[in-house]
Amino acid sequence: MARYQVYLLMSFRGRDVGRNYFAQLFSVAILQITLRILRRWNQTGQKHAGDSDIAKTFLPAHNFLLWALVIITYLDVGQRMSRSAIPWASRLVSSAAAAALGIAAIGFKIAFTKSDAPELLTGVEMLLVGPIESASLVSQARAVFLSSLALLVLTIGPAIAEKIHSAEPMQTILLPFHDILSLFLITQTRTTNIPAFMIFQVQYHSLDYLDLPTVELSLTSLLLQYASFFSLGGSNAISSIDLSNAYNGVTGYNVGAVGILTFLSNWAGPVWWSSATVLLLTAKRNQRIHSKSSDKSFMTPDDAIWGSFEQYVAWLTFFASSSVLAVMLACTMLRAHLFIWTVFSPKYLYIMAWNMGQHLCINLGFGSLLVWMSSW
Amino acid sequence: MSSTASNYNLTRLYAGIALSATAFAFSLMVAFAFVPKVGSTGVWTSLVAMSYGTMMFASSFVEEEQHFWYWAASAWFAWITVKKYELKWLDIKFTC
Repeated sequence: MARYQVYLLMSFRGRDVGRNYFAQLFSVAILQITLRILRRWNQTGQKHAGDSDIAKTFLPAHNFLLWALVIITYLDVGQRMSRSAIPWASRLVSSAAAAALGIAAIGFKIAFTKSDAPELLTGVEMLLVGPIESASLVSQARAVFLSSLALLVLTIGPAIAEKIHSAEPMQTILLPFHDILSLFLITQTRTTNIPAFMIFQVQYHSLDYLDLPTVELSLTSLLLQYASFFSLGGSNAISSIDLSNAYNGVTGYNVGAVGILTFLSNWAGPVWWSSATVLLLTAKRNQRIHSKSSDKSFMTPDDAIWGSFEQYVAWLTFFASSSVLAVMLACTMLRAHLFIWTVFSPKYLYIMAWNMGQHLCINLGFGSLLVWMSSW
Repeated sequence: MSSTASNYNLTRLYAGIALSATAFAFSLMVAFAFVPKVGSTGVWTSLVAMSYGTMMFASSFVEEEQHFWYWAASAWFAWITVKKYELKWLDIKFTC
Protein backbone atom coordinates (compact mmCIF):
# COMPACT_ATOMS: atom_id res chain seq x y z
CA MET A 1 0.00 0.00 0.00
CA ALA A 2 2.76 2.36 0.98
CA ARG A 3 4.71 1.58 -2.21
CA TYR A 4 1.61 2.27 -4.28
CA GLN A 5 1.17 5.60 -2.56
CA VAL A 6 4.78 6.49 -3.21
CA TYR A 7 4.31 5.51 -6.87
CA LEU A 8 1.19 7.69 -7.01
CA LEU A 9 3.06 10.64 -5.57
CA MET A 10 5.96 10.17 -7.92
CA SER A 11 3.70 9.90 -10.94
CA PHE A 12 2.39 13.40 -10.26
CA ARG A 13 5.72 14.91 -11.08
CA GLY A 14 5.48 17.97 -13.25
CA ARG A 15 6.48 17.84 -16.85
CA ASP A 16 9.76 19.57 -16.23
CA VAL A 17 12.32 17.29 -14.75
CA GLY A 18 13.59 18.50 -11.44
CA ARG A 19 10.77 20.87 -10.63
CA ASN A 20 8.82 19.93 -7.58
CA TYR A 21 5.15 19.22 -8.21
CA PHE A 22 3.88 20.91 -5.11
CA ALA A 23 6.12 23.90 -5.62
CA GLN A 24 4.67 24.42 -9.08
CA LEU A 25 1.14 24.01 -7.74
CA PHE A 26 2.04 26.56 -5.09
CA SER A 27 3.26 28.95 -7.79
CA VAL A 28 -0.05 28.84 -9.61
CA ALA A 29 -1.89 29.33 -6.31
CA ILE A 30 0.29 32.38 -5.66
CA LEU A 31 -0.63 33.70 -9.10
CA GLN A 32 -4.33 33.36 -8.31
CA ILE A 33 -4.01 34.95 -4.87
CA THR A 34 -1.96 37.90 -6.12
CA LEU A 35 -4.42 38.40 -8.96
CA ARG A 36 -7.23 38.56 -6.42
CA ILE A 37 -5.34 41.21 -4.45
CA LEU A 38 -4.68 43.20 -7.60
CA ARG A 39 -8.35 43.09 -8.53
CA ARG A 40 -9.13 45.11 -5.45
CA TRP A 41 -6.22 47.51 -5.83
CA ASN A 42 -8.17 50.10 -7.77
CA GLN A 43 -11.88 50.11 -8.39
CA THR A 44 -12.48 51.21 -11.95
CA GLY A 45 -15.51 51.26 -14.21
CA GLN A 46 -18.87 52.91 -13.84
CA LYS A 47 -21.05 50.41 -12.06
CA HIS A 48 -19.12 50.29 -8.79
CA ALA A 49 -17.43 53.65 -9.11
CA GLY A 50 -16.47 55.02 -5.75
CA ASP A 51 -16.49 51.66 -4.02
CA SER A 52 -13.77 51.15 -1.49
CA ASP A 53 -10.54 49.68 -2.74
CA ILE A 54 -6.99 49.35 -1.53
CA ALA A 55 -5.40 52.35 -3.20
CA LYS A 56 -8.04 54.95 -2.46
CA THR A 57 -9.60 53.77 0.78
CA PHE A 58 -7.46 51.33 2.72
CA LEU A 59 -3.92 52.61 2.22
CA PRO A 60 -4.64 56.32 2.72
CA ALA A 61 -6.29 55.41 6.02
CA HIS A 62 -3.16 53.55 7.09
CA ASN A 63 -0.36 55.91 6.14
CA PHE A 64 2.28 54.09 8.11
CA LEU A 65 1.53 50.82 6.31
CA LEU A 66 1.45 52.61 2.98
CA TRP A 67 4.89 54.13 3.40
CA ALA A 68 6.29 50.92 4.87
CA LEU A 69 5.14 49.09 1.72
CA VAL A 70 6.47 51.84 -0.54
CA ILE A 71 9.86 51.82 1.14
CA ILE A 72 9.97 48.01 1.04
CA THR A 73 9.25 48.15 -2.70
CA TYR A 74 12.06 50.64 -3.23
CA LEU A 75 14.39 48.53 -1.09
CA ASP A 76 13.50 45.43 -3.09
CA VAL A 77 14.22 47.17 -6.39
CA GLY A 78 17.38 48.66 -4.91
CA GLN A 79 18.78 45.38 -3.68
CA ARG A 80 18.03 43.74 -7.02
CA MET A 81 19.82 46.59 -8.74
CA SER A 82 22.79 46.30 -6.42
CA ARG A 83 23.11 42.64 -7.30
CA SER A 84 22.75 42.90 -11.05
CA ALA A 85 23.75 46.42 -12.11
CA ILE A 86 27.23 47.25 -13.37
CA PRO A 87 28.21 43.61 -13.61
CA TRP A 88 31.84 44.40 -14.42
CA ALA A 89 32.42 46.27 -11.16
CA SER A 90 32.56 45.01 -7.61
CA ARG A 91 29.33 44.62 -5.71
CA LEU A 92 30.42 47.41 -3.35
CA VAL A 93 30.48 49.91 -6.18
CA SER A 94 27.19 48.79 -7.63
CA SER A 95 25.56 48.73 -4.19
CA ALA A 96 26.71 52.29 -3.59
CA ALA A 97 25.35 53.39 -6.95
CA ALA A 98 22.05 51.54 -6.41
CA ALA A 99 21.73 52.98 -2.91
CA ALA A 100 22.32 56.51 -4.16
CA LEU A 101 19.73 56.06 -6.89
CA GLY A 102 17.28 54.51 -4.45
CA ILE A 103 17.62 57.33 -1.95
CA ALA A 104 17.16 59.91 -4.68
CA ALA A 105 14.06 58.08 -5.91
CA ILE A 106 12.49 57.76 -2.46
CA GLY A 107 13.29 61.38 -1.70
CA PHE A 108 11.62 62.49 -4.89
CA LYS A 109 8.56 60.36 -4.20
CA ILE A 110 8.17 61.79 -0.69
CA ALA A 111 8.59 65.37 -1.88
CA PHE A 112 6.21 64.74 -4.76
CA THR A 113 3.59 63.25 -2.46
CA LYS A 114 3.89 66.30 -0.22
CA SER A 115 2.82 68.52 -3.07
CA ASP A 116 0.47 66.11 -4.83
CA ALA A 117 -1.36 64.32 -2.01
CA PRO A 118 -0.27 65.70 1.38
CA GLU A 119 -2.93 63.71 3.21
CA LEU A 120 -0.86 60.60 2.55
CA LEU A 121 1.91 62.03 4.74
CA THR A 122 -0.15 62.79 7.85
CA GLY A 123 1.34 60.84 10.70
CA VAL A 124 4.57 60.03 8.90
CA GLU A 125 6.10 63.49 8.73
CA MET A 126 9.36 61.98 9.99
CA LEU A 127 10.01 61.04 6.36
CA LEU A 128 10.08 64.68 5.32
CA VAL A 129 13.66 65.48 6.08
CA GLY A 130 15.08 68.91 5.33
CA PRO A 131 16.94 68.27 2.09
CA ILE A 132 13.98 66.44 0.55
CA GLU A 133 11.61 69.25 1.32
CA SER A 134 13.84 72.10 0.25
CA ALA A 135 15.03 70.78 -3.11
CA SER A 136 12.76 71.55 -6.03
CA LEU A 137 10.67 68.78 -7.53
CA VAL A 138 11.98 69.38 -11.02
CA SER A 139 15.61 69.01 -10.01
CA GLN A 140 14.86 65.91 -7.95
CA ALA A 141 13.00 64.29 -10.82
CA ARG A 142 15.78 65.11 -13.22
CA ALA A 143 18.32 63.75 -10.75
CA VAL A 144 16.45 60.46 -10.59
CA PHE A 145 16.09 60.19 -14.38
CA LEU A 146 19.69 61.12 -15.09
CA SER A 147 21.04 58.78 -12.41
CA SER A 148 18.98 55.91 -13.85
CA LEU A 149 20.35 56.70 -17.28
CA ALA A 150 23.90 56.85 -15.91
CA LEU A 151 23.49 53.49 -14.18
CA LEU A 152 22.08 52.04 -17.39
CA VAL A 153 24.97 53.36 -19.46
CA LEU A 154 27.48 52.06 -16.93
CA THR A 155 25.83 48.65 -17.07
CA ILE A 156 25.51 48.36 -20.82
CA GLY A 157 28.51 50.40 -21.98
CA PRO A 158 31.28 47.87 -21.38
CA ALA A 159 29.22 45.16 -23.09
CA ILE A 160 29.10 47.29 -26.21
CA ALA A 161 32.72 48.31 -25.91
CA GLU A 162 34.11 44.85 -25.41
CA LYS A 163 31.57 43.00 -27.59
CA ILE A 164 31.34 40.23 -25.12
CA HIS A 165 30.81 36.94 -26.88
CA SER A 166 30.63 33.83 -24.85
CA ALA A 167 29.14 30.38 -25.15
CA GLU A 168 26.35 31.48 -22.87
CA PRO A 169 23.92 34.03 -24.26
CA MET A 170 23.66 36.56 -21.54
CA GLN A 171 20.68 37.48 -19.56
CA THR A 172 22.95 39.56 -17.37
CA ILE A 173 22.20 42.80 -19.18
CA LEU A 174 18.45 42.30 -19.28
CA LEU A 175 18.16 41.82 -15.54
CA PRO A 176 19.63 45.20 -14.51
CA PHE A 177 17.76 46.83 -17.37
CA HIS A 178 14.53 45.41 -15.98
CA ASP A 179 15.35 46.60 -12.45
CA ILE A 180 16.25 50.11 -13.57
CA LEU A 181 13.10 50.18 -15.69
CA SER A 182 11.13 49.11 -12.61
CA LEU A 183 12.56 52.00 -10.66
CA PHE A 184 11.72 54.41 -13.45
CA LEU A 185 8.15 53.11 -13.71
CA ILE A 186 7.73 53.28 -9.94
CA THR A 187 8.88 56.89 -10.07
CA GLN A 188 6.14 57.53 -12.62
CA THR A 189 3.44 55.84 -10.54
CA ARG A 190 1.13 57.23 -7.92
CA THR A 191 2.31 56.53 -4.38
CA THR A 192 -0.64 54.28 -3.53
CA ASN A 193 0.02 52.13 -6.61
CA ILE A 194 3.69 51.47 -5.86
CA PRO A 195 3.25 48.32 -3.69
CA ALA A 196 1.51 46.70 -6.68
CA PHE A 197 4.90 46.46 -8.33
CA MET A 198 6.05 44.16 -5.57
CA ILE A 199 3.06 41.98 -6.35
CA PHE A 200 4.05 42.00 -10.03
CA GLN A 201 7.52 40.84 -9.02
CA VAL A 202 6.03 37.96 -7.03
CA GLN A 203 3.93 37.00 -10.05
CA TYR A 204 7.01 37.16 -12.25
CA HIS A 205 8.89 34.78 -9.97
CA SER A 206 5.95 32.38 -9.93
CA LEU A 207 5.83 32.41 -13.73
CA ASP A 208 9.58 31.92 -13.85
CA TYR A 209 9.28 28.83 -11.70
CA LEU A 210 6.39 27.44 -13.72
CA ASP A 211 8.46 27.55 -16.91
CA LEU A 212 5.57 27.73 -19.35
CA PRO A 213 6.00 27.04 -23.08
CA THR A 214 6.28 30.08 -25.33
CA VAL A 215 2.71 30.03 -26.62
CA GLU A 216 1.23 29.83 -23.15
CA LEU A 217 3.63 32.46 -21.92
CA SER A 218 2.41 34.78 -24.67
CA LEU A 219 -1.21 34.42 -23.63
CA THR A 220 -0.27 34.84 -19.97
CA SER A 221 1.67 37.98 -20.78
CA LEU A 222 -1.23 39.42 -22.75
CA LEU A 223 -3.69 38.74 -19.92
CA LEU A 224 -1.36 40.12 -17.28
CA GLN A 225 -0.58 43.24 -19.28
CA TYR A 226 -4.24 44.14 -19.50
CA ALA A 227 -4.99 43.07 -15.94
CA SER A 228 -2.14 45.18 -14.57
CA PHE A 229 -3.28 48.19 -16.57
CA PHE A 230 -6.72 48.03 -15.00
CA SER A 231 -5.55 47.18 -11.52
CA LEU A 232 -3.31 50.26 -11.45
CA GLY A 233 -6.34 52.44 -12.08
CA GLY A 234 -6.72 52.47 -15.84
CA SER A 235 -10.12 52.21 -17.42
CA ASN A 236 -11.86 52.99 -20.68
CA ALA A 237 -12.83 56.47 -19.59
CA ILE A 238 -10.77 59.51 -20.50
CA SER A 239 -11.19 60.79 -16.95
CA SER A 240 -9.00 58.03 -15.55
CA ILE A 241 -5.88 59.22 -17.37
CA ASP A 242 -3.49 60.15 -14.60
CA LEU A 243 -1.56 63.34 -15.32
CA SER A 244 0.03 63.78 -11.91
CA ASN A 245 3.35 62.26 -12.99
CA ALA A 246 3.30 63.60 -16.52
CA TYR A 247 5.33 66.71 -15.70
CA ASN A 248 8.14 65.14 -13.66
CA GLY A 249 11.27 67.06 -14.58
CA VAL A 250 9.55 69.11 -17.25
CA THR A 251 9.51 72.88 -16.71
CA GLY A 252 8.14 74.40 -19.85
CA TYR A 253 5.74 73.49 -22.60
CA ASN A 254 7.05 70.23 -24.01
CA VAL A 255 4.53 68.09 -25.84
CA GLY A 256 6.86 65.21 -26.58
CA ALA A 257 8.26 64.74 -23.10
CA VAL A 258 4.91 65.18 -21.37
CA GLY A 259 3.25 62.80 -23.83
CA ILE A 260 5.85 60.13 -23.26
CA LEU A 261 5.73 60.55 -19.48
CA THR A 262 1.91 60.41 -19.51
CA PHE A 263 1.96 57.20 -21.53
CA LEU A 264 4.59 55.56 -19.34
CA SER A 265 2.81 56.69 -16.21
CA ASN A 266 -0.55 55.22 -17.24
CA TRP A 267 0.81 52.13 -18.98
CA ALA A 268 3.39 51.41 -16.26
CA GLY A 269 1.96 47.95 -15.59
CA PRO A 270 1.93 46.76 -19.22
CA VAL A 271 5.39 48.18 -19.88
CA TRP A 272 6.71 46.37 -16.80
CA TRP A 273 5.16 43.14 -17.99
CA SER A 274 6.50 43.39 -21.52
CA SER A 275 10.00 43.70 -20.08
CA ALA A 276 9.37 40.82 -17.66
CA THR A 277 8.06 38.63 -20.48
CA VAL A 278 11.23 39.18 -22.51
CA LEU A 279 13.18 38.13 -19.41
CA LEU A 280 11.10 34.95 -19.17
CA LEU A 281 11.51 34.22 -22.89
CA THR A 282 15.27 34.64 -22.85
CA ALA A 283 15.53 32.54 -19.69
CA LYS A 284 13.77 29.74 -21.54
CA ARG A 285 16.11 30.14 -24.45
CA ASN A 286 19.15 29.98 -22.18
CA GLN A 287 17.80 26.88 -20.53
CA ARG A 288 17.19 25.25 -23.89
CA ILE A 289 20.70 26.06 -25.05
CA HIS A 290 22.20 24.63 -21.89
CA SER A 291 20.26 21.40 -22.06
CA LYS A 292 20.50 20.68 -25.79
CA SER A 293 24.07 21.60 -26.53
CA SER A 294 24.77 18.18 -28.07
CA ASP A 295 21.61 18.04 -30.15
CA LYS A 296 22.38 18.07 -33.86
CA SER A 297 19.08 19.59 -34.85
CA PHE A 298 19.60 22.42 -32.43
CA MET A 299 19.28 25.89 -33.88
CA THR A 300 21.96 28.50 -33.51
CA PRO A 301 21.57 30.78 -30.52
CA ASP A 302 20.26 33.57 -32.71
CA ASP A 303 17.55 31.37 -34.17
CA ALA A 304 16.61 30.28 -30.70
CA ILE A 305 16.19 33.87 -29.63
CA TRP A 306 14.00 34.95 -32.50
CA GLY A 307 12.04 31.72 -32.51
CA SER A 308 10.33 32.25 -29.18
CA PHE A 309 10.18 36.02 -29.44
CA GLU A 310 8.66 35.83 -32.91
CA GLN A 311 6.00 33.45 -31.64
CA TYR A 312 5.23 35.79 -28.75
CA VAL A 313 4.93 38.74 -31.12
CA ALA A 314 2.76 36.72 -33.51
CA TRP A 315 0.26 35.96 -30.76
CA LEU A 316 0.20 39.49 -29.46
CA THR A 317 -0.30 40.87 -32.95
CA PHE A 318 -3.15 38.45 -33.53
CA PHE A 319 -4.97 39.82 -30.52
CA ALA A 320 -4.03 43.42 -31.30
CA SER A 321 -5.35 43.28 -34.85
CA SER A 322 -8.55 41.51 -33.83
CA SER A 323 -9.25 44.08 -31.11
CA VAL A 324 -8.62 46.99 -33.47
CA LEU A 325 -10.93 45.47 -36.09
CA ALA A 326 -13.63 44.88 -33.49
CA VAL A 327 -13.49 48.42 -32.12
CA MET A 328 -13.48 49.95 -35.59
CA LEU A 329 -16.48 47.88 -36.61
CA ALA A 330 -18.28 48.74 -33.41
CA CYS A 331 -17.64 52.45 -33.78
CA THR A 332 -18.78 52.44 -37.39
CA MET A 333 -21.86 50.31 -36.90
CA LEU A 334 -22.88 52.09 -33.72
CA ARG A 335 -22.17 55.59 -34.96
CA ALA A 336 -25.75 56.63 -34.23
CA HIS A 337 -25.74 55.04 -30.77
CA LEU A 338 -26.44 57.26 -27.79
CA PHE A 339 -23.11 56.45 -26.20
CA ILE A 340 -20.96 56.90 -29.28
CA TRP A 341 -19.08 59.88 -27.91
CA THR A 342 -19.08 58.97 -24.21
CA VAL A 343 -18.11 55.31 -24.36
CA PHE A 344 -17.16 54.09 -27.80
CA SER A 345 -14.87 56.83 -29.02
CA PRO A 346 -12.87 56.96 -25.73
CA LYS A 347 -12.51 53.21 -26.23
CA TYR A 348 -11.26 53.90 -29.74
CA LEU A 349 -8.67 56.33 -28.38
CA TYR A 350 -7.56 53.79 -25.83
CA ILE A 351 -7.28 51.10 -28.48
CA MET A 352 -5.08 53.46 -30.48
CA ALA A 353 -2.87 54.02 -27.42
CA TRP A 354 -2.77 50.31 -26.69
CA ASN A 355 -1.84 49.30 -30.20
CA MET A 356 0.36 52.16 -31.38
CA GLY A 357 1.92 52.77 -28.01
CA GLN A 358 1.98 49.53 -26.07
CA HIS A 359 1.98 47.06 -28.94
CA LEU A 360 4.12 48.78 -31.57
CA CYS A 361 6.49 50.82 -29.47
CA ILE A 362 6.79 48.78 -26.28
CA ASN A 363 6.04 45.15 -27.08
CA LEU A 364 7.52 45.14 -30.56
CA GLY A 365 10.06 47.93 -30.54
CA PHE A 366 11.29 47.88 -26.97
CA GLY A 367 10.93 44.09 -26.76
CA SER A 368 13.02 43.62 -29.89
CA LEU A 369 15.64 45.93 -28.45
CA LEU A 370 15.76 43.88 -25.26
CA VAL A 371 16.02 40.59 -27.16
CA TRP A 372 18.80 42.03 -29.32
CA MET A 373 20.60 43.23 -26.21
CA SER A 374 20.35 39.81 -24.63
CA SER A 375 22.41 38.33 -27.43
CA TRP A 376 25.43 40.54 -26.79
CA MET B 1 -25.77 72.05 -35.86
CA SER B 2 -27.43 68.69 -35.43
CA SER B 3 -25.56 67.33 -38.40
CA THR B 4 -22.04 68.24 -37.34
CA ALA B 5 -21.84 65.56 -34.68
CA SER B 6 -22.85 62.95 -37.23
CA ASN B 7 -20.95 64.36 -40.19
CA TYR B 8 -19.00 61.16 -40.68
CA ASN B 9 -16.59 60.59 -43.49
CA LEU B 10 -17.86 57.11 -44.25
CA THR B 11 -15.30 56.46 -46.96
CA ARG B 12 -12.49 56.83 -44.48
CA LEU B 13 -14.26 54.69 -41.93
CA TYR B 14 -14.71 51.86 -44.41
CA ALA B 15 -11.14 52.21 -45.64
CA GLY B 16 -9.90 51.90 -42.08
CA ILE B 17 -11.98 48.82 -41.50
CA ALA B 18 -10.69 47.26 -44.72
CA LEU B 19 -7.10 47.93 -43.70
CA SER B 20 -7.53 46.50 -40.24
CA ALA B 21 -9.34 43.47 -41.65
CA THR B 22 -6.35 42.86 -43.93
CA ALA B 23 -4.00 43.17 -40.96
CA PHE B 24 -6.17 40.77 -39.00
CA ALA B 25 -6.14 38.25 -41.85
CA PHE B 26 -2.36 38.37 -42.07
CA SER B 27 -1.88 38.05 -38.33
CA LEU B 28 -4.31 35.12 -38.27
CA MET B 29 -2.29 33.30 -40.89
CA VAL B 30 0.97 33.97 -39.09
CA ALA B 31 -0.28 33.05 -35.65
CA PHE B 32 -1.82 29.76 -36.64
CA ALA B 33 0.48 28.66 -39.43
CA PHE B 34 3.85 29.81 -38.25
CA VAL B 35 3.66 28.84 -34.62
CA PRO B 36 4.51 25.13 -34.47
CA LYS B 37 2.35 23.81 -31.68
CA VAL B 38 -0.82 25.72 -31.04
CA GLY B 39 -3.09 23.27 -29.28
CA SER B 40 -5.39 24.33 -26.52
CA THR B 41 -3.63 27.64 -26.06
CA GLY B 42 -4.68 28.56 -29.58
CA VAL B 43 -8.25 27.82 -28.65
CA TRP B 44 -7.90 29.96 -25.55
CA THR B 45 -6.41 32.89 -27.43
CA SER B 46 -9.13 32.66 -30.06
CA LEU B 47 -11.77 32.60 -27.34
CA VAL B 48 -10.25 35.65 -25.67
CA ALA B 49 -10.01 37.50 -28.99
CA MET B 50 -13.54 36.57 -30.05
CA SER B 51 -15.19 37.44 -26.75
CA TYR B 52 -13.22 40.69 -26.58
CA GLY B 53 -14.37 41.55 -30.07
CA THR B 54 -17.98 40.80 -29.20
CA MET B 55 -17.64 42.79 -26.01
CA MET B 56 -16.75 45.92 -27.93
CA PHE B 57 -20.29 46.18 -29.25
CA ALA B 58 -21.86 46.56 -25.81
CA SER B 59 -21.27 49.78 -23.93
CA SER B 60 -21.61 48.19 -20.52
CA PHE B 61 -18.92 45.68 -21.31
CA VAL B 62 -16.66 48.44 -22.57
CA GLU B 63 -17.12 50.30 -19.31
CA GLU B 64 -16.42 47.23 -17.19
CA GLU B 65 -13.67 45.71 -19.30
CA GLN B 66 -11.48 45.10 -16.27
CA HIS B 67 -13.79 42.33 -15.11
CA PHE B 68 -13.27 40.50 -18.38
CA TRP B 69 -9.51 40.61 -17.97
CA TYR B 70 -9.52 39.61 -14.32
CA TRP B 71 -11.86 36.73 -15.01
CA ALA B 72 -9.95 35.57 -18.11
CA ALA B 73 -6.64 35.65 -16.22
CA SER B 74 -8.08 33.64 -13.31
CA ALA B 75 -9.65 31.09 -15.64
CA TRP B 76 -6.41 30.80 -17.61
CA PHE B 77 -4.38 30.15 -14.45
CA ALA B 78 -6.90 27.49 -13.42
CA TRP B 79 -6.47 25.89 -16.86
CA ILE B 80 -2.70 25.91 -16.48
CA THR B 81 -3.05 24.13 -13.16
CA VAL B 82 -5.25 21.45 -14.66
CA LYS B 83 -3.28 21.07 -17.85
CA LYS B 84 0.17 20.80 -16.40
CA TYR B 85 -0.47 17.68 -14.49
CA GLU B 86 -1.93 14.40 -15.63
CA LEU B 87 -4.57 13.51 -13.11
CA LYS B 88 -3.97 9.80 -13.18
CA TRP B 89 -6.14 8.83 -10.29
CA LEU B 90 -9.16 10.36 -12.00
CA ASP B 91 -8.11 8.75 -15.29
CA ILE B 92 -8.25 12.11 -17.01
CA LYS B 93 -5.48 13.04 -19.35
CA PHE B 94 -4.91 16.58 -20.49
CA THR B 95 -2.21 16.82 -23.10
CA CYS B 96 -0.76 19.88 -24.71
